[in-house]
Amino acid sequence: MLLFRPLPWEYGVRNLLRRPGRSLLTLAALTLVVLLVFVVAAFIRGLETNLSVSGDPDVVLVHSLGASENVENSSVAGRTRDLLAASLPGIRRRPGAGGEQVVYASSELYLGTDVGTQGQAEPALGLVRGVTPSALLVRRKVQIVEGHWPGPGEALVGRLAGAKLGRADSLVVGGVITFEGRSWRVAGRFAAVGSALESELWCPLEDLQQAMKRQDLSLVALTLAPGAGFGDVDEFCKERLDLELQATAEAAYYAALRKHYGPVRALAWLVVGLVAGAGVFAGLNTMYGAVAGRTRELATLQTLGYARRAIALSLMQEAALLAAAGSLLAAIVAVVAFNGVAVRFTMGAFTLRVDGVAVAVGCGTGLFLGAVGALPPALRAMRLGVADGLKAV
Amino acid sequence: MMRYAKWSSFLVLAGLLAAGCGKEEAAAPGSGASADGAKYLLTAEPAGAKGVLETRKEAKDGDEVVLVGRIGGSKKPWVEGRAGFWIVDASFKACNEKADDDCTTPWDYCCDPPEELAKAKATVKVVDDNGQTVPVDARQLLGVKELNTVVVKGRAKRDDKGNLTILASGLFVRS
Repeated sequence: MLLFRPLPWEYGVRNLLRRPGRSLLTLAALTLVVLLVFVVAAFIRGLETNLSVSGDPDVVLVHSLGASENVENSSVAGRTRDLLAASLPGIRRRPGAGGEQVVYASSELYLGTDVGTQGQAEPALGLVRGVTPSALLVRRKVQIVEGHWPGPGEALVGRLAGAKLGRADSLVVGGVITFEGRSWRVAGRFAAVGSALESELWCPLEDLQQAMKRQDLSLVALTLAPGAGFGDVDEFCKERLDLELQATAEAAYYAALRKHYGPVRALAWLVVGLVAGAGVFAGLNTMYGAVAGRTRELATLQTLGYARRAIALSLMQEAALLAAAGSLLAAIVAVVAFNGVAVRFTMGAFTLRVDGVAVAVGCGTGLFLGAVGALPPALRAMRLGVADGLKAV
Repeated sequence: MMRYAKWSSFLVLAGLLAAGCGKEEAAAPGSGASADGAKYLLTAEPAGAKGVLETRKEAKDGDEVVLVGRIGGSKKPWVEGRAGFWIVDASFKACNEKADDDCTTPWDYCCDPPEELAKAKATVKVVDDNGQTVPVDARQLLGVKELNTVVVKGRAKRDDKGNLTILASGLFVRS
């Protein structure tokens, strides 16, 4: 309940339309500022989501000792999968054809290498994983969305592998790519709920080993059986000193990467703060101009009996309306133009995400700009003397 | 003058109190052990402890052994969630004990050749009455930390690859 008579709501709305040029310019400035906030927030959300959905809590990576921070440098013996399957009862299994047990253990050769695509003279750095069909047992998020599982000389490409290579549309099913001195036909495309796997190119393990003249593996990925724990695998690796193996929970591996990208996230939030700060100053400038140009009008309102607080509130209403409209426009542009846009980074690629959090941050910043930007000019208007105001030119 | 002296003595007293409060006494090795861990911690050092290198040469599967070594051998020498860890022969110097080394994880012995280090390591597992590894992190159970020198009493478990695991029944933290 207000203790004073406010100006009619329509008065503030009409005022915006009385000066369409100024209102449009302010709206454009606010929209741009809020759009920038949206883009940065979508970047942060995309990166965070990419790393948080990467890593299955039931999956353990077994790699060479000391390679926990970079499995690309890991090298373990080719027989490691069979050894682990035979030694660890804690690995998930299910009955297979012919009474054999299907073990949820995936031998993988993983590396970053130059990948050439059709129509591009220069190769780009891509992430390649040599896999067997067991990979689909362990990597439960992977779903083939187009084509089929790769046969000899074929490769399966992740949804964001093109973005990682800097050539978003270059990887089409049926096309040819080259890496490790061989040509590979693209057999299909896969998605993995936005995880880091989507930036990769998968090919048959044996083919990749032959192309690279290697017999070793980078890692073995295991799915734990219900009731089993990471400690089971860790204990085995610690006991078998001769194998020089190390176990890392996949979730912990990506959590470490998330920590690694902490400074990037902090910097991005700082950019949000700086952009919002710049927006506040721009808003202040505009609203000061609006108040200065309406001194006589505001004084007249006082002579008509409106309290200064009511006039200040009306000014804030105008700013808040503009800010809300700007936020709405910015949100629409962000969703239409930026949501889902792929961004390349060292570990792969991720998509900008204009999700609920990004919308809350963007619109919240917009409304904050409107309220804070209008406050000092509104306070100034409250200090205005009636006689001085009426005499103002 | 009297007032000045009163204030001075108050400040000196406050300073002494602050210094006393701020000074932390170095925790004795193993002092952070849990109640469950107390039964595995020995109050006196068992006699006849041998180094890891010597034990790896001599011990056979099932032998009762007393072994001395320092906790380390990798950045994470602990078995996660279990009372198990690696120890390294005491003849090896940790990285921080070597000149011009600013390694932040000196217990990983990264300044030694990996193949030599691998031969000087043993796995210690503190086991319960059923022979199962105690399902509590060794740091919590026994209050030990990296580079502690421990004397372990237990049964040797050997395999044809030369690996040595001690199924420990008791442990004395020397330093």
